[in-house]
Amino acid sequence: MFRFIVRRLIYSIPVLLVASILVFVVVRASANPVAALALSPRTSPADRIRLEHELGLDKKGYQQYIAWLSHFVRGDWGKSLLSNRPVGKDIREALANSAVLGLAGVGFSLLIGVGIGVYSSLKQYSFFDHFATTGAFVGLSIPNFWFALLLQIFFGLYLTKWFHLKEPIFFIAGMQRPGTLGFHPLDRLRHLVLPALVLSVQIIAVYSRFVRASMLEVLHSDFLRTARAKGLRERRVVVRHAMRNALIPLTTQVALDVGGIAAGLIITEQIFQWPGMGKYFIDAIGAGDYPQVLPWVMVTVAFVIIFNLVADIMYAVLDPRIRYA
Amino acid sequence: MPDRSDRDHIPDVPSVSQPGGVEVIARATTVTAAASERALSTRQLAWRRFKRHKLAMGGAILLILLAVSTIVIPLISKYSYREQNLLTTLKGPSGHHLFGTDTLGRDEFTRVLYGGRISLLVGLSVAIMAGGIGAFTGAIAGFYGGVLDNILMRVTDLFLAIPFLVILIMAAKIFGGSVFDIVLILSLFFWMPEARIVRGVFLSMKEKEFVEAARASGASNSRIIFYHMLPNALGPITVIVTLGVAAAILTESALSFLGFGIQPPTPTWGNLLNDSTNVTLIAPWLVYFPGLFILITVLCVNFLGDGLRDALDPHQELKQTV
Repeated sequence: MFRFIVRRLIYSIPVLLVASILVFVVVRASANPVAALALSPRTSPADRIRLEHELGLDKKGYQQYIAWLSHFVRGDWGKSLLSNRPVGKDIREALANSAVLGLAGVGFSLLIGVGIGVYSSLKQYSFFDHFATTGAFVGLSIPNFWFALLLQIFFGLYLTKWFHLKEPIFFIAGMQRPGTLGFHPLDRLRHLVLPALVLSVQIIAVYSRFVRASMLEVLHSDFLRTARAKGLRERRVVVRHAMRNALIPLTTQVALDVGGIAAGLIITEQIFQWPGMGKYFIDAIGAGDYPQVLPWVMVTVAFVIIFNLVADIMYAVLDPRIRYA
Repeated sequence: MPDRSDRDHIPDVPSVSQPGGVEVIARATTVTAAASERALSTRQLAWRRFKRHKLAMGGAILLILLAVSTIVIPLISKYSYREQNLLTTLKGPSGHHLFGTDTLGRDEFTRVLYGGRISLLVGLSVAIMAGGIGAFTGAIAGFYGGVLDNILMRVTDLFLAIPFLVILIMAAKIFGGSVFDIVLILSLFFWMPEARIVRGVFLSMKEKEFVEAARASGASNSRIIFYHMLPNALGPITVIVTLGVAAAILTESALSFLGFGIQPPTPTWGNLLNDSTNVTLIAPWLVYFPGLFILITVLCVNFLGDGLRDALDPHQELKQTV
């Protein structure tokens, strides 16, 4: 097991390197911070050359990359061109905010998705099962940004109008009331509900189908018949024997989804102005702030790789039939 | 609901369902029943299975209607998609303007259908191009195996590890926002599921007798791949390409919604929604209609894909890609 982990980690280094080169080329091609200054009459050519030298833009492409990489691995992630703030600190904050939103979304989806999936499998072909199937199709097909806009209209416009509210029950933008300092749990929660809901629609659809499929497989297996033959109560058969086995594959899926949180919330965060990783990225790209983009991509790719590994390890730990050499 | 009329005959088939949600329980009975009447070709059998899938049939019909109406919209509508009328901006849906008007007084109904033209075109072209790239890569990897397979699959893994929306956004920013650019960029990031599935099919088919027979009669590798094996993999490819259309439409609309996709004045469902974001609470109808069209289209395509899976690919269990 240990050797497996080490080998996988070593394998992931080239992936990270290739990804970083790819992103470096793309970013350098898309943004040149000095080009904008060239148009301004207030900067002299000498200033421009000085800035180019400071930023290392007068070096060759591969030298720039190596310089960036050697700084990056030593923990010097550079500074934002716009705010001059260290990128590492900003990314850490954004990551924490995304984690709150993402974990809330995935957690909620797990609760609902597993519930729907298990119940569907127990009542296969019932009205509920058909309803859940159609619902899952809709959940997979609905554009999540559109769903977000609908929620904003409903909570921000109609609900406040109908009930003459001074403010929406659940706020439609931001992470906390503007201008507040410190941590107010209720206020945070009221901001969290809508984006988390948008996030979970698709995930619930996937999880419920996933759980239903693996439950059906387990429900028809021999050991379940044995459990029933022993005279166990149905509840115990379902919860202790069937669910415990059926949910193992789901852990893999959940681990992958958690790994994707670092990058996967771009749309939701943008619509709800949630100051997480996704919004950070869109803002950085929009402003051409490339020192922010590169470390961001490295962090998100690293998260995907690490949680891929976590998924495999969890699978092996939970299911003794799986062995990694 | 999909037809499950004969589930009672075989009650305890462990139906391993796809996330798409329809089981292939009816298969065995259909085949035997059909055989007893008269011999049916594979294609006829597939058509039978497809017809039983009511949602897929409905989806296909709706999609055809939608596609036709986006083509004939200049004949139906008395407005053009870019004709502005600043006297009638942000009017709600009415007899004159079925879906209301936007911030520049343009007829939203015309714009939504025009947008459908682009969105459907992008979805279809991306899925087909990505299907081509994926099928080729998967076929080569599966057929030759060994080092080549290893390299190609590592490349596939790499493409899967990079958060693709991120690359799409950056690429779209560099290469601009024409329809052609977006199709190209999306295709480059949509071929991985196809490659994996085709590779799997090829691996399982490689040792079959008909391949050996072809080789024994002196067929070259490329002939075996493209004339003998690929046609046999067309079922799963069709299914995954269809589901790819849904994913491509969703992604294009998300990209355009964020402002990185196809640029105005060309309307697509995504950038129509983007236009609406500043007036969401004043003119909610600008939000409702484009989104509803995306939802209906993607839903129909997903149903269609599900029906095709039942019809063409009853033995293969495909992983959900949407």
